[in-house]
Amino acid sequence: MQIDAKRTVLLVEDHAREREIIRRILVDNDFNVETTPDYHGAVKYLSQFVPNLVCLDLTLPRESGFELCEYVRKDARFRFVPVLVVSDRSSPEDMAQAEYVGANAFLKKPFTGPKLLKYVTTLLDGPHASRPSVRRLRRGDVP
Amino acid sequence: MRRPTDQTLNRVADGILLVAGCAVATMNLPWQPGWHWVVFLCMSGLAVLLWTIGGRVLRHYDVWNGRGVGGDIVLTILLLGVVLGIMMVAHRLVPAYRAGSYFRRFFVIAAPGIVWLRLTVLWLQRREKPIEPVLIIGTGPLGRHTGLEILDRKDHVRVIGYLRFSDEPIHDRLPAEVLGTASDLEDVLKRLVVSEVFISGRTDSQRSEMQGAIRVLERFGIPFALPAGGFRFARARPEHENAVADGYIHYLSVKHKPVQLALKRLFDIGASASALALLSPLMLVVAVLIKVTSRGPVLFRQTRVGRHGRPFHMLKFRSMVANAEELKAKLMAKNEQAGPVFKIARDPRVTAVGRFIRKYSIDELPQLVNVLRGEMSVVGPRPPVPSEVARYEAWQRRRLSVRPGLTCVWQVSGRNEISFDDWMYLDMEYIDHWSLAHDFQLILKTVPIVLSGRGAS
Repeated sequence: MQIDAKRTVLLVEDHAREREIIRRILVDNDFNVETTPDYHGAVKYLSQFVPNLVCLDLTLPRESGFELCEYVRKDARFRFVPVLVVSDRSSPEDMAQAEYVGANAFLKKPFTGPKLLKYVTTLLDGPHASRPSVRRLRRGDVP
Repeated sequence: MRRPTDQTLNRVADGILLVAGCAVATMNLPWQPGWHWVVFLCMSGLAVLLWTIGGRVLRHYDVWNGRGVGGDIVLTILLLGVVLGIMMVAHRLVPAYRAGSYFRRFFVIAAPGIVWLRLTVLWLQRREKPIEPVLIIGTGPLGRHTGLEILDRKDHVRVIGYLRFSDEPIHDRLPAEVLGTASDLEDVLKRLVVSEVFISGRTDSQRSEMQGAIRVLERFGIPFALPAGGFRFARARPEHENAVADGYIHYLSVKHKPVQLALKRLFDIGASASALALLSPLMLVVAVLIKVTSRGPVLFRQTRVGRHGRPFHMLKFRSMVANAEELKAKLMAKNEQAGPVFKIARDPRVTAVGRFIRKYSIDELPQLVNVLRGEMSVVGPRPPVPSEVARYEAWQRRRLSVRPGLTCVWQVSGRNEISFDDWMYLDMEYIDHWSLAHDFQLILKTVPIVLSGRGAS
């Protein structure tokens, strides 16, 4: 689907400023970023394109990030598209629920630019089959 | 992650502060220059010596002494007070030296420094050294994230292992090893010291196993935590954030009375410190008597099982011959107490002095030090020996869910004349219906029994 060599990240984040910050970080590092504030925008985009990565917030204005993640996982086209959850809901229970619906990694807010990039690049270049829990990167052992 | 250097640094820095305090206290003394140095050196030497002994008795520099921050600070101040008191007395005894008022300066310099340092060390320790061992049941995403979260939080909690539910595969990315399945819980709790168990299961598919684990934990009296929601929340948060701060609801097998518990600990410290001070002449006499009349050490250090099964050394005046433990095996046949306890009426291993100090429970007095250290309390179930605990049935292990004590219901209710099971029931009753008022009643009842020497063996 992609015309250019850059890899595409679909960014779903309701908070305008945070969306802009994440977008800027990714664009600065040679990613093609598509942004949308909610579930419906994301579904609309996904009906036409297959991104390399979906980066989503759990708290969205209407349907939640969990639902979006479930939607992505239901469709065979996105079987190899990793999902990165970026959220300030970070209790073990939230993280477990994210994993149940098929998210590949969970990045807690607030985060730093380098950390976000580390998560994104590990998800894109790491061994997908084993579904790396990128959260463990923080302790230094790359999955 | 052991950092013994924290303790060494603390020790050295405390020494420097004490010497600095002495230097300030002896400044401007109205004597010739030569004398000044002698006084300063004597004073510093005494201060450091007393501090070292006191610190050793109270296990002040042990990496883990089982005390909270509050208790530790109170003990630090107490230790400082004792050192200062003895030094003042010592200086009064030297007639030429009347620098009593200079101690105020000593105190002003040394005390805040030492206490502040202690707080820093405790804070460092809390960050660096995990000490409360927890067990997680469930190796699924929730169990794993819970373990990682505990690792990340870096406070005083350490995950010692996982148990998996029967429908879970063995997972390899866990922060601790898998010790077995949920049905092994009872065996694991018997083997390991565990202060809390996280039951990270799903109520839809693992409900019966979770319920089984809860039953075991209630029987053992070990605190546990259940997932607060078990549901997916995209937006909603608990109204009272603190109620489920880590996503779990925490349960205790006893009624939580934090204020009363804190008061109890405070009473323990105050009572044991003043009792030690008052009884020190008597204890000194007894110590000399023991040393003179029989071969062997004055104190008898026995390993006993403390709260949540953590072993500690209980102190007693030695009332038996030095090789008493070896003789115990031969005498086992004559045991008069049913159950896993060993007691016989006319024990041939007891020495003459031993018989006397036992009759009036003087042999138990060194345990005031255990109380001061925080390993024991004044009132609480008597700490059992490890071999006894090994033969406990599950429900009897609940005795270990509170701090052991010097006296309890059993001690004031006719002592050896009741059966082991009744004794256990009395201890359970004490644990389940604990209150500060009840503690004081027990203390008041204990005093006449000890003084009369009734029922003691």
